Amino acid sequence: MTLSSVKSGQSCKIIKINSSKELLKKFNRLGFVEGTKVKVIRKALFNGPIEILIRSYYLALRVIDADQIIVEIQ
Amino acid sequence: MKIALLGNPNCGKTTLFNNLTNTYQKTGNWTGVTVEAKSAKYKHDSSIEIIDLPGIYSFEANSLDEKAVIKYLKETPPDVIINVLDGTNLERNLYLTCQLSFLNIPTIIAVNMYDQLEKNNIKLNIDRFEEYFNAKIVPISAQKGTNVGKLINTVIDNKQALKPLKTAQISKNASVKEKYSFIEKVVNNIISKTSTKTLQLTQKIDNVIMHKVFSIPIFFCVLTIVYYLSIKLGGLIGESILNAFNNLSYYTKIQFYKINVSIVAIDLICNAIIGGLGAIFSLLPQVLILFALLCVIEQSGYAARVAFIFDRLFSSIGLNGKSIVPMMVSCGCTVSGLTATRTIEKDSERFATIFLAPIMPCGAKMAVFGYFSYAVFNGNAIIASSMYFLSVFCVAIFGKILYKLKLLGQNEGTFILEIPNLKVPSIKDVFYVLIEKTKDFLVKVGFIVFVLSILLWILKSFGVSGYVGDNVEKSFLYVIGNFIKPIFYPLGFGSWQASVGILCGIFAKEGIVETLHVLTNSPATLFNNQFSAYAFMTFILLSPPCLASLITAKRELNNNKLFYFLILFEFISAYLVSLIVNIIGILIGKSLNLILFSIIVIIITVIIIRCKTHKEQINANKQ
Repeated sequence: MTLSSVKSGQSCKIIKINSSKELLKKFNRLGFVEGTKVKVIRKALFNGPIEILIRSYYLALRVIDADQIIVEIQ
Repeated sequence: MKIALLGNPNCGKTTLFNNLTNTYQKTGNWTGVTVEAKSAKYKHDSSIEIIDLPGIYSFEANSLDEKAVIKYLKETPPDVIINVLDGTNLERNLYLTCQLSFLNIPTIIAVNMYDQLEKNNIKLNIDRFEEYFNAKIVPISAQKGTNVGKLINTVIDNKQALKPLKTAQISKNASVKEKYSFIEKVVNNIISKTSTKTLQLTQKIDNVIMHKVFSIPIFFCVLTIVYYLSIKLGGLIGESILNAFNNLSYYTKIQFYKINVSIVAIDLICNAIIGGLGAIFSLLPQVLILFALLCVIEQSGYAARVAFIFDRLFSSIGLNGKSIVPMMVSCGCTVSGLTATRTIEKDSERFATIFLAPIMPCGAKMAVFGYFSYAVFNGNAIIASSMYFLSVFCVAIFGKILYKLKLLGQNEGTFILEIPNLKVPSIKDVFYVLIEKTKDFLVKVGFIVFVLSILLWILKSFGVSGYVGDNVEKSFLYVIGNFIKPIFYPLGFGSWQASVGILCGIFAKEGIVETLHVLTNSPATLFNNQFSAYAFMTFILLSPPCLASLITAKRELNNNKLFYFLILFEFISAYLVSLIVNIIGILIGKSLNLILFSIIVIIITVIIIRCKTHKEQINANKQ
């Protein structure tokens, strides 16, 4: 499943990142690698951005970007 | 000796810089406020130069900032690098540190926000930390100033002994995954406990201010408080400043009459110069209060949360969640609003914000609408308030057009934004911002307004026959007004006074009320009917607020072609929309009351926003 379909409050583990090379690099820099644990904190109104907890900091990203991250619920 | 501060965005580098030096440097709780490297002398020893580099996440040359930092370090390597880490977020911060070991520059590590770690009973094993990276590590709190002196002294004392970082356990070609597993190991071995109380407090507050339903009313409450303080309180102070200048002008006039100074000189000094200065200084309190409050909103971390809340709505018209700040600042002053667009990373979204922000009704435009509602519309408030709705309506429509036609190259792009921990902003940082803004305002905006008020005075007071005084119909302004008035015939206000009003409005909308007041006794007679007066207001609403805002837009776009497009876009759109208003007036003006029309504008805008949000809701439910 993708990160965007994880419900608020659920934790998951990154399996794969399917984004373009440029975006993949950006995700890598921010600490997104295979095996990283991610917790979805909240989702904004009207399918807006998703706030996640990753490596002890908080980050917001759009659904379109979160769609490219394949995760596994833990 | 040159010492460079290097670290992730939001790690507190700039606060440390402000603490080490005595210069004014704005910090924001955004990513990427430091656009270029800033340098200043260390406050206790002027032989030491401190350099604040842009915050970066890695050395992979992906973003503009990363490229800039790499270039800087290659071309002018500093003697020492202080790698600033956010102690509450070591895992991600250490990724950059891992890459630093391949730079051949002596490095020392400063673990910032150490006070927060202590508050939460988290202990760092500094000795083991030092072993991992073969470097000196100093725990500091940049905001409180703890250990900041010690940090610099450690650098000075160990000048010869400081070495580039070295990590035996990781090779240069290690993959991202390998680097992160190394970091995980380091963090697990040096931190005693990971749960934190302050973070929980941030989360508790976030549950309210980022709540799906409450977040929006809370935001509007904050906005109302900001405007109330800035416009009411600032306006009150500004008014007394204006009165002081008026009194000064009056007494100077009397004194000059006594000593027989020529009328032209009296007019120039008392009306143009003192009046111009009064106009500038009376705006200052509003601008300053607005900036102080916005600075608090940014530094506390609330601005990032507002961007999160509004991103969906804004991205549908090609803007970014971060556009909300420039937009709301533009309701006060567009010049400041345009400067606030710098936090938007993606160029196309930043350009779109620069194109749309001038449509918001700034303080000066509201003054014109206020004047119209009593001078033309017999004190009807609905007509003036409908202007707010008309501007929102036009932002949505124009935004959508720019987005759909891809005029600024927008595509649905990424929005990745760090949500920093909430914090109480440091007074010193806010104070520095205010000093910088005052200087900025007086030099850049003040100077232009001052020159323009003198220029306008010359055009108004002189004609072919020389000095004409109050006899405006012999002035250059009358000639110019008559020359350009045919342009405005189709809009329903082709009188020379209204044309001059529009012309003055290009310089500054503040000038319109005064100009119309001087040129005519009853402004209502300048317009064919009430609809053409409404068309005039529409033109004022949609055209750029002042020359200063255009100059700021040029600076922020940094692209001449786009800037000329912006000018064309703003004026043509203003012209077309007011033409439509006038045509509606001609077609159905006799049967449709203008008040009814204003109410219809309000209702249509509300319906569009409702439909928009409703559609989003359906999309959200589908997924």
